[in-house]
Amino acid sequence: MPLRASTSIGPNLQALWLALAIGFSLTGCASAALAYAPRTSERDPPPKPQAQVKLTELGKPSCDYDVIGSAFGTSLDRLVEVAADHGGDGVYDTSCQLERVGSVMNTSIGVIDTRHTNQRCDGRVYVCRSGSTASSPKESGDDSTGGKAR
Amino acid sequence: MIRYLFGLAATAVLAGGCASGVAFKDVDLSFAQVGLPMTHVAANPRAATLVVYIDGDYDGGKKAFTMVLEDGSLVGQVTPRSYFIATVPAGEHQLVTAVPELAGYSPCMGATHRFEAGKIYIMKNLTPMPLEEAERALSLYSHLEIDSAAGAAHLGDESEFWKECIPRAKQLEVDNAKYLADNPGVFPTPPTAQSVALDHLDIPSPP
Repeated sequence: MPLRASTSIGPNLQALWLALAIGFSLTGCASAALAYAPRTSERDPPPKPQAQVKLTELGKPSCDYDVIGSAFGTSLDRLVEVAADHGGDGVYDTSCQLERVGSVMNTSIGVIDTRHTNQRCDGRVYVCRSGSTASSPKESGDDSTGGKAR
Repeated sequence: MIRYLFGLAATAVLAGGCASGVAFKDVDLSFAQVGLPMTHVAANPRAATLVVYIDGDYDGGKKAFTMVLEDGSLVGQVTPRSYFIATVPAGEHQLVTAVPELAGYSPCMGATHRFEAGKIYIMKNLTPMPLEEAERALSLYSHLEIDSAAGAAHLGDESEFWKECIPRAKQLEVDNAKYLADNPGVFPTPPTAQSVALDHLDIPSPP
């Protein structure tokens, strides 16, 4: 639930802490360290080239698969990068949405305006089980063969 | 002075987005680790169950937030894009969350809610969340298992921090309430815990 961009707040920083307390996003900042949430404590497979990572925007992966984590980023390409970094064979069940974040604040050092629009995407990173391989990268469409969460 | 430091940190967050510095350094989990994914959370008839998660995009770094009750007892610890499950005694409690490793740079945030035994509450940091708004996040985020013994030891090590933080969080909550009353419409009114209480919780598995 983003802080609405039209927000204009007063001469102190009360609103910032209020926002933090009630869980709104403020900056849209997402470091690389935050871009991946492992599904288990198991060690990731070794990283692989992005070209070998398949993006499935709709439907399920075309192999039998295990979900190893979740990727987060500002674009679908970023999800592929994250999946590659964590040794995924692909990313699926993706979702992207636009949100407006930031605020205008009058502070002792002047007006600070951080309003901007972000795209936030997420998806599930999977690995194909042995003997089952993902086909060509970046395919869309329902190609369900069934998978399983670890 | 502390308020000033908060101001600097806050200003840097707003101005820089992904800034660097003491207030923005990563703080690792100290008494929680990624466990097996949860698909079902059962209510505890003798206590309230909290499912606490945070998103990852507002603090400029990967920080482990520690959550306690107003009496200083441990609730849990969480990093961005993860969640933990804890029980608290039924009744009205102030939840306090902070990053004690940041000392004076840490925010001390608090919110008071009334919890019922036998109910489950999904909390986005300190805010009760309706299931429909939290379901995908819980499905995507890492489930953290809390080591209570290690957590208690951690609280002991940081006892001076919490002695100062908890009253500060209380005051901030009072200030926040006043700010909301004086500035209607600036923020949507968050839901009450009562309005989002669940009898059971199923977290969807990946499709």
